Amino acid sequence: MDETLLQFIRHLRNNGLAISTAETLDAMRVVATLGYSEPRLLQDGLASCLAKTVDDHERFVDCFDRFFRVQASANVQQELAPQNAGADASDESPADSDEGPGQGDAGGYGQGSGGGGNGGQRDNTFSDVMQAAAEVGLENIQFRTQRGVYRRKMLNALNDEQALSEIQQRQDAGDNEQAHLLTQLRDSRIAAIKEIIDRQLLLNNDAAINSLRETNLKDSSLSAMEHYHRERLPPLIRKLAKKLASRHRQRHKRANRGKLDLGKTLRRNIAYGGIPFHRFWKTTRKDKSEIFVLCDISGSVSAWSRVLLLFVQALSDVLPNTRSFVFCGESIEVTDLFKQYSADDAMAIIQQRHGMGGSDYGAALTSFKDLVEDKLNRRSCVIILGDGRGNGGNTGIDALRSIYHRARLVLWFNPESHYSWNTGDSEIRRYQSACHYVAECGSLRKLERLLDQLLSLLR
Amino acid sequence: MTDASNDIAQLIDRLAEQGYIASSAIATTLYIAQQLERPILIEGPPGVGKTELANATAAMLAKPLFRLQCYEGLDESKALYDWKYSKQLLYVQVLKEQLHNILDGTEGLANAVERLHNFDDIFYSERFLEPRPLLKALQSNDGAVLLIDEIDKADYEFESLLLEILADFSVTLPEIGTLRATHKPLVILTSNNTRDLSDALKRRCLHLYIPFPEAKLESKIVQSRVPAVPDELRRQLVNFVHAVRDLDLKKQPAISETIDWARSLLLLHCNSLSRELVESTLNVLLKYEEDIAMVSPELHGLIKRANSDH
Repeated sequence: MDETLLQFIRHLRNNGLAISTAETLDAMRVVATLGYSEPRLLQDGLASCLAKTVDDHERFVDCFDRFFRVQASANVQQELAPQNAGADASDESPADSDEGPGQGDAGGYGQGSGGGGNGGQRDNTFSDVMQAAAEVGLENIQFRTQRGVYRRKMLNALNDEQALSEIQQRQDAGDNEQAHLLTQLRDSRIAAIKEIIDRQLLLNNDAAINSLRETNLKDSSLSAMEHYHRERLPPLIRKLAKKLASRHRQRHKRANRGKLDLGKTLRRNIAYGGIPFHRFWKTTRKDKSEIFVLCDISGSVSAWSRVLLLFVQALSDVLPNTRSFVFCGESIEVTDLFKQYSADDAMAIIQQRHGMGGSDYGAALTSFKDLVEDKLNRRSCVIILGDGRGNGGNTGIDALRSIYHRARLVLWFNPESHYSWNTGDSEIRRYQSACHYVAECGSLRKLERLLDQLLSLLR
Repeated sequence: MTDASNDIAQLIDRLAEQGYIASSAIATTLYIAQQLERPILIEGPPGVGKTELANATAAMLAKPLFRLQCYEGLDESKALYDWKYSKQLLYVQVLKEQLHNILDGTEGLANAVERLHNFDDIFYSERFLEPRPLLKALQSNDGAVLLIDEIDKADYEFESLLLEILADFSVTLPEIGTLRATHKPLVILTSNNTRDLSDALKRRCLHLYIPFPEAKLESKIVQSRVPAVPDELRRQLVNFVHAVRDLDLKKQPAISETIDWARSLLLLHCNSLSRELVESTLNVLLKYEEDIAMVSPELHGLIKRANSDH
C-alpha cells in the first residue's frame, strides 16, 4: 500500500476534489509506472487521472505543490538521518545534490532547512522531529487550537524531560559550555517542532475549517448571518446548484426516437411496394416549461432574493427558460443583466438601481401581471420570494389570483419562519389562497430541498 | 532519468516526427493512457490541436484512425451499429421462392412453424451487421485509434452509451450478445467544454487540458508546420499573437490561426511585421469584425511589443 499517495489523495479530498476509489486505483498504477523521482512527470501524470475539470486542475496543482513540499523535506531528512548518525556535517552535500535539480522547489526547501551554519546537527534534529511527528500522528491535526497538545506530545516523544534534566545536571556540575550547547540544541528542536506543526496545519486546517463553515452556512438563517459570511455564500450556492443540476440533468431529455410510426412508414414506402426501405419513428414532443422568478429586494428580504437569484442562475443548465424579475415598487425584468454580467456583478447592479425603499406588493404584483400575463400558460411556473409584509398597503391579491389561474404552478417562498407568518402586517394568509404552495425557506438547505422538489416536478 | 521519463521523451520526439509538438503534460498523459489502457478526455479552447493529437498519434503508431464526429441527435444506429435493412429485405424477397422447398412435406401450420423455428435468426447475425465507427474500432484486428470528437455536442444519453465501451472495450448488442475488442483501441475524446460532462464518463477517462501554448512552444509548432518562415519573423508573429490573446476578444486566435497567418505572411514574401502588413492580413488571425475593430487601434503598441519581447 502506498501510504504517501493515499495521504495525498486524502489531502485532495479535503480540498474539495471528489476522487473515487477507481481513480485512486488508477493513481496507484500511475505512480507505479512513473515513480516518485521526477515530480514534474508525476504531477502531470497524477493530474490526468485525479483532476477531471479545469478548476480541479488548478486546485490540484496547488495541493501538489504544498503536499510534496512538506513530504519532500520529510523524506530528505529521513534519508539523511542514518548518514549523519555516523558522520559529520560534510555528508550533507552529496545527499543534497542527489535530490537537487530534479526536485524543483521541493528540493529547494530541503536545502533551505539543511544548508544553515551547523547543517549536520540541524538535520539530525529535523529528522528526529519528523520521526516524532509520525509517532504522534501529526497528520491528524485539524485546528489551530490543537497546536499546544501536539507540541507537548512531540516533545514527550523526543524525551524532552531527559534533555532538561541533563542540562540541569551539566549546569550543576559547572560545565556551562556543554549546558549552553545542549540548551541550544533543545531550542532548535522546539523551533523545528513549531515549524512542522505549522506546515501540517496549513495542509489540513483550511479543509477542516471549510467543511465546518459550509455546514454552518447551509443551516443557519440568512437574516441572522453576518455580512462577512454572506460574502462566502456564492461559491457554496454554485456548488449546491451543481449538485442539483447533475441530479436532474439526466432525466431532463426524453428519448429522441420513439416507437415505429407504422402508418407513416407504410405510406412513404408505397413506392417500394410496401417494403419499408425508409423507416419513420414517432417522436415525443418535449414541453418546455418556463419559469418566472419574482423577488422582493426591499431591505428585509434582499439577502434572500440574492440567494435565490444566484441559485436560479447557477441552475441555468437544467432550467433553460428562466426569466427573473425584481421589485420594490414596480416589477422590473432583470434577465438580461444576468446575461450581460457575471452573477455577482449583476446582483450589485440590481441592488444599486432598484433596491431602495420598502416593498409595495400591490404595485409589484399588478405590474408583474401586466408584464407576463400573455406569456403565462399551463407550462409556466411562477416563484415569488417575499415575506408578504406589504406595510399595510394594497396587497395586489387580485393580480396574483389571475396569475394563479393561468399558470401551472405558483410557489411562494417565504424566508420568515412559520411561527411569524400572519403576525403584524404579514398578509401571507391571504396570498396562500392564491398560491399552489407557500413554503418556508429559512436556510440554504431548505431552499435547496425546495428547488430539488421543483426540478423533479418540472421534468 | 528513469525508464518512464525516457519513454516520454521518446514519445515527444516521435510525435514531433509527425509534425506534432507536444508539451510534457501531453506526452505524459498519452504515455499513461497507453500503459493503463485508459481513454483520454481532452479539453481546451478550439484550435489548440486536440483533434490533431489524435491524428498524429494514429500516424505515429501506424494504426488506422476511426473518427466519430458528435452532434446533437447522434444515436447508436449512427455511432455504434445498424442492421443492413435493405439487404435483409432483399434477402427476404429472394428467399421467398425458397420457402416452398423448405416447407415441403409439412402438414398443418403448427408443423410448418416448428420447422421454421429450427432455422437460426439468420437475419440478425453479424452478416447483416453494419458496423459504425465505434464498432469498427473495436473490431479492428491490430489495434486502432478511436477519436470521438466534440463529445460535448452529443446528447446526454450518448454518453451513457459510451460508458461500456470506455470501461471494458466491449459492446452488448441485444440481438447478438457481447462483442469484445480483440485489441484494445486507444480512445481519445475531445470536448470544447460547452457543457459539463457526466462524472461517470470523466471517471473512466484520463483528463488532459490543453491550454494555449507558451510562446516558446508555439514558436516550435510554427517552425515544424511552416519551416520556411524566417526565424525573426516567426519570433515576431508568435509574440504578436500572444499579445493579442491578452486582449478581451470574442474569439482568441488559436494555434491553427497562427499557422494560417504564418503561411499567408510567407506567401506575401515578407521578412518582418509592419503595420500595413498586419492590418491587411488581420482577418486571417481574427474571425470577428468586432475583434478586428478592437485590435486595429492597438496595432502600434502590439507590434512594438512583438518586436521587443524575447
